[in-house]
Amino acid sequence: MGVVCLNFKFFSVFAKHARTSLTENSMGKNTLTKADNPAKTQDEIIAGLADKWRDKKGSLIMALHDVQSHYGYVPRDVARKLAHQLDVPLARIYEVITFYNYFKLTPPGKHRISVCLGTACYLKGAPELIEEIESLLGIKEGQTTSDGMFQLDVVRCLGCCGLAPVMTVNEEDGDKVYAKLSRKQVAEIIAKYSKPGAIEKK
Amino acid sequence: MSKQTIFLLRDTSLTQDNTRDFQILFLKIARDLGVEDSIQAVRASDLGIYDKGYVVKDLNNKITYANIQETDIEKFLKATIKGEGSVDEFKYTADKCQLRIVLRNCGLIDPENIEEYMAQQGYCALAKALTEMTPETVIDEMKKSGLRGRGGAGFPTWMKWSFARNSLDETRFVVCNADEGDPGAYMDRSILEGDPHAVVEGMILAGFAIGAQRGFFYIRAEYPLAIKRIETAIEQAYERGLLGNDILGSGFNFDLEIRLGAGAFVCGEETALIESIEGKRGTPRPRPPFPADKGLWNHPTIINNVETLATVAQIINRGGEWLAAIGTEKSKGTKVFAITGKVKNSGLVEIPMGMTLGEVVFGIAGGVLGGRKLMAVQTGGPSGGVIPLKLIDTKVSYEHLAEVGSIMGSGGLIVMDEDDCMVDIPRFYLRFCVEESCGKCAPCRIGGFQMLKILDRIAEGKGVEADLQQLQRIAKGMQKASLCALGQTAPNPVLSTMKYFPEEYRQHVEDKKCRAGKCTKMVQYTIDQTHCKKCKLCVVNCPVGAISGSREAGYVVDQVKCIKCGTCYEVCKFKAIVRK
Amino acid sequence: MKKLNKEDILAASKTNPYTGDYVKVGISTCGVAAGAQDTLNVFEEETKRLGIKVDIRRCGCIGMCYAEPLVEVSAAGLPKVTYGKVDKNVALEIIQEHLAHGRLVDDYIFDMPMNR
Repeated sequence: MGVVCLNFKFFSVFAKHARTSLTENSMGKNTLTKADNPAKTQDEIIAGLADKWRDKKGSLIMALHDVQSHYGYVPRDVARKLAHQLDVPLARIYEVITFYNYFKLTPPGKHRISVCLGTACYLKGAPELIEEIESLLGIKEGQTTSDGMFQLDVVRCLGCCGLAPVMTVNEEDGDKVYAKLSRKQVAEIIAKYSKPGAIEKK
Repeated sequence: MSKQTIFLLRDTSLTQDNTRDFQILFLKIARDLGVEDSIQAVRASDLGIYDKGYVVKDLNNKITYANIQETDIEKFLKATIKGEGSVDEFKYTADKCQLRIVLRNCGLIDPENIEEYMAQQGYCALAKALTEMTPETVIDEMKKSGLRGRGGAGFPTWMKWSFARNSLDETRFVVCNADEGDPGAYMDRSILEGDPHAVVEGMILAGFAIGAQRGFFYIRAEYPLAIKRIETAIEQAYERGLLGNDILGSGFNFDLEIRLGAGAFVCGEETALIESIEGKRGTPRPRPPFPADKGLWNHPTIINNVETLATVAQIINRGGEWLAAIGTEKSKGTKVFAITGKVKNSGLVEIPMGMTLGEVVFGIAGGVLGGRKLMAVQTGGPSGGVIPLKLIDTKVSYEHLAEVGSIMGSGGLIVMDEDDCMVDIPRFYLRFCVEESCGKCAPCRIGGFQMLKILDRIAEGKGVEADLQQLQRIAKGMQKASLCALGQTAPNPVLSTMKYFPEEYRQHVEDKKCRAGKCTKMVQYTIDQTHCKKCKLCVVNCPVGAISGSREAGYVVDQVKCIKCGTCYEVCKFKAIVRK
Repeated sequence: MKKLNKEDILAASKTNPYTGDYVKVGISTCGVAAGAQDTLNVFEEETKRLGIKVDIRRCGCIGMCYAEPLVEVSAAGLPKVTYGKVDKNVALEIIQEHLAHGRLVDDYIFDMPMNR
């Protein structure tokens, strides 16, 4: 299956104005809780999650979204506890996780490179970008380098077709979008992220 | 500051841009006439007019003049500034231009501020429906408008609604399908991001019409900004009593919530979407029963696309006849397209139905990138067909596009030029469908995979004559036997390219040649020694060191080492690299 | 907050939130990818620094993705125009020329015929 992995960190690309309006409107109903208190234990987090979704019919996918936005993937022990809390069989949870590309079973790499393979990007050379990244990092799509530094994902249309070809690399404050790319630029971008501590400091 | 007339200048010829020279001359003549202080002449970047010579737009009076020669400037300035004589013969009105109904607010209002939407007649339709109309008259108005589903299939919206309305089951749902998975299409995202309240209002109206108590937005998780804006819109609507209990004192109750997709294209199919909202794997259900009869948790459910819902409020406001007056006999209103690929102005356009594809691509989007030759356009994404240049005068409507073997689809319009391979493109789409097939039914799961294997073989230069017939046979099986539209339509790109570009398939199969050089396994790069200037640029840039030689002996490409990346072809300044 | 009724909605439809000078920056996924957030920041900081009285507003995507980031400028005495491909430098030029001196900036105006 193709891989779609745009973590909710993408949210924070728009963080600046997002935050102002969120506080203005003290979100209630549909908000996805993201900033859980770090001091909470795993059990408390899962219990909180389960309380939030238990009474809503058919909300397993929403609960899993919350898990993934917290952990970056769905860890096995969390899935097991969630199954217990929501009173659904573990098999049902795994059935859903493995069906949807969005959910991950393994922890993400430090720098997640997502190359868009929508039609516009495809026509404008995304396959060559993927080839270049694969040869530079020595990994295939969907894989993580052995040092855990880079992960390469191929994603469905990011909706920036006017800027094709496009790829994103996650940074601390959200995904950085690189547009109208060439093979050469890709190498430069990877070199930039390879430098130790390059991104944390900014 | 004295009042100035502002002129926008632009050379609209596709080959050269002489706007700067034109501007200098324009200003000089203005100085000679002594009117320089009462004008500003500004170079524009794009006026949406192409191949009409020099175009001058009078911004203050909103009049456009086209085909103005250098020698006409004096006459032009005298007429427009001093009022001496007339230049009406240069007046230009775009005969084909966008008509923005769904996108009317996009890019104009602040989507996170409900007041701005309300200043544009926002929620007036809701007020009208709840106080002056009955659910039946709302559905009647929809029937008069002739609005058909904008998600692709084009089912009459009013019919869906009245099925649900007439159901005996009183628990009913409205679902907004915002699981826009088509690669290269992002109309829904732009509407959700640009005018979220229009969709929310459409949802409430739909709920009122069918007698639903709850609605769900099903949005792709990959659209975080759209999700956030819809959240904000819903929140603002609740605060003002436009959602919740007893809306506007009418006694009508309606709640809205968001459910996120999780990266499965098939969930755009309505029965799969229902499964997904129920928290299960998104696999389609056999129909009948249709969702309007037994949908979410087996209750009547209508599922409408974002664009459809965004049109509803305006139909109620302006009356069904107003929309019915736009478009063709069987396709009413407008359609939003995301034009991408090898086109000059890629972006969103909204056009009245009945405009031709050529008018859209050349008239509105400025033609093919770099003035190259158009090869084909593709509508409908992985479910649609490829339409060749000779059919570029096909009208945009459900029926006309179906006639040429494509579909309206959700609104992707991809422009392809001579560099695109008509075997590679369908392969791209088919691979997408194979990866996204849910696996529930065999024709789609197995048929798609086998078709892809054959196409891969052809692209590698290992295709045989019988492969082409086999492709047709499998395609027919998939169309007839697949459970849902994903499988039924997945062969469309292959079938349409086989129909319109048979010679290209023949070349791949018989001559083992790819005209566009996209099927890399068949391509060979060689160096033409007569053009080679021995600059070594290709040697330096080759990522695998496949080019060797010396200044004296010349350079050659080692075909065994070559990975056919085309870097040498791109970097060579003397066109000495031959791609065959 | 007060629940609205029909009269409130009809009254609101006659209001005009766009009085006075304004700059509207398109903030949508494609705009942000092209750098609209930086453009917005420049407008906010520079107009404040120079003491130019103008509303800096946000809007969605107008659809001209090839020309992002897009900015609409409406200043007294001048017709409303849309600038495209507005990076930081162009933004500074628009502030200096268009907002401060009433002169439109060359080469960045996009004016597409559209019916609404």
